[in-house]
Amino acid sequence: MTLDRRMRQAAESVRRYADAEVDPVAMLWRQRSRQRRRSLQTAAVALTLLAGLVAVAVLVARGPRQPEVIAPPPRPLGRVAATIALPQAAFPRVVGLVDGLVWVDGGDATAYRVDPQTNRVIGSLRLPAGSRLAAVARGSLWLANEAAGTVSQADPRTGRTLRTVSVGSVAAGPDPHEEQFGVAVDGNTVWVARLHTDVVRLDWAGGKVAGRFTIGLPGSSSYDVIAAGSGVAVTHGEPNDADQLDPRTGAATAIRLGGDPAGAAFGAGSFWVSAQNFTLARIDPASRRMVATIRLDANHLPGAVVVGDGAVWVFAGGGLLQRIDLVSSQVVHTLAVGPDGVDSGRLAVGAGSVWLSDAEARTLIRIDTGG
Amino acid sequence: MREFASVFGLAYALSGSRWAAEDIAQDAFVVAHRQWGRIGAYDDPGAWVRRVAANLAVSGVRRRLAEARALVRLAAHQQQQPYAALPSEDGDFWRAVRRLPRRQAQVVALLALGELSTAEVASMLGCSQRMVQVHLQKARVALAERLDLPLDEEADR
Repeated sequence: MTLDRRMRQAAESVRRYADAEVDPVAMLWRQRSRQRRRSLQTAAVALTLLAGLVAVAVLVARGPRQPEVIAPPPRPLGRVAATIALPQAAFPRVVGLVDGLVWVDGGDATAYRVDPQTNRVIGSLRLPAGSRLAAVARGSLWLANEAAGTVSQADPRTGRTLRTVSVGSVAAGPDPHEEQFGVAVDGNTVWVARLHTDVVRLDWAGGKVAGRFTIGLPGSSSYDVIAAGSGVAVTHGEPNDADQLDPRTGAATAIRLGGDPAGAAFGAGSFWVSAQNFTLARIDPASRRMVATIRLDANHLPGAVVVGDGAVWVFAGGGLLQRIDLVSSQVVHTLAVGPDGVDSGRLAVGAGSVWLSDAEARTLIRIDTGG
Repeated sequence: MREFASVFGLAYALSGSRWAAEDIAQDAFVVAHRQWGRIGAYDDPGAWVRRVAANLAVSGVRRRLAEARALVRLAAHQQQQPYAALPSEDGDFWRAVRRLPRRQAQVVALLALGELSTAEVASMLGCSQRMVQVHLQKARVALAERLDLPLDEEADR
């Protein structure tokens, strides 16, 4: 028996099971029962609220109470502060903040500026054809053009291209929104992770390719994660590994995570890599070792990571934002964001908020970090 | 009804619970009904419903809520009707699938149960065909190892 044969047999077994178990009459009856029960639950909640209001009214009528000495309130929890519509964007993805403005790639060769003071879109920049906003850093916009195989630096005020460096084009996949290039900027070095090809290190001042890294056999790795800091970068190498790329030695050091990396960021002197085994790894770039493993919510697959406002933030599928304290390396707060189905591949932090984007609903969501 | 059974089967394979699968399938169709103005214009609305069900089924919280709701329902109405289960080795296969990373499990279930091409699954999951192939390859290697089965057909001859 081969795996393929077992797969076909198991699929046929499920089909037979489904055909036998699905009973339309019984299901309709159960659906109506559920609706009735929900009505009863709603009524019960309303009655409880009413009873609470009566109790509060009675207490107020009795007059002021002696003040109690209580512990100071815990750090306020974050909340969804604003949901900003981006109806004009084809597939919005938040990228980051420059000069106090939030930048969103529209998925249609347009970048949008959002003012945190007003929570409004205050302008847009038309990008060169085929380009998308891949990163913001050093007060600049960083554009990726996968078809042309280039990375460009642009002025956020005028949109003028300041420099373009060629890294080599890649064949586009059928999904036009798939990011074939990941871009991370570390001082004068720009790292470009080409999804199924390699990781390219650019000497930006020199305007040239300074090195290329591949891990494992050609085509065996998906370089779908990239973060840079302290002169090195971290990417996704072999399954269940993160790899630290060191330009001084030209070597990639595998760091065993126990699950495929899903997101990465650099901050507070460390790399932070979320993995599909529901953990966040803290990697010390100097020792190239994992110095902490933080267990994340086990019901939501973690994804995007960002560091800022004194914390690490991890967004997980289904709409769960988790806040990890930089000192204790522990999850100190989780917040359910939006209805089920919100899935932000990117996060940004700044202006006292965490920002994420819901590409399907074409919205930018702002979450207060609670000071 | 045929479409419902197909979605139910997909949810059952990915959630491992008959009760959760029923709720997930119902929820997926309710969502489709509410948004029919938009979904009805799609080339294949059924694909959209399967995508919703596949996402709901791999979300642990949703799965547990659905299962809890269904079990409460069962207890409330004291249904005594026994329900069948899959043959043990098929059950073992789907248990192994559910231990895979989310995307890999979805790809295996959609390809195996939906009799779809990788292009159709890629379109359904909103990723590239290449990524579907990558997920499938990783999943096949992991499943072969966990189930102690050879990968290729040659070994079976």
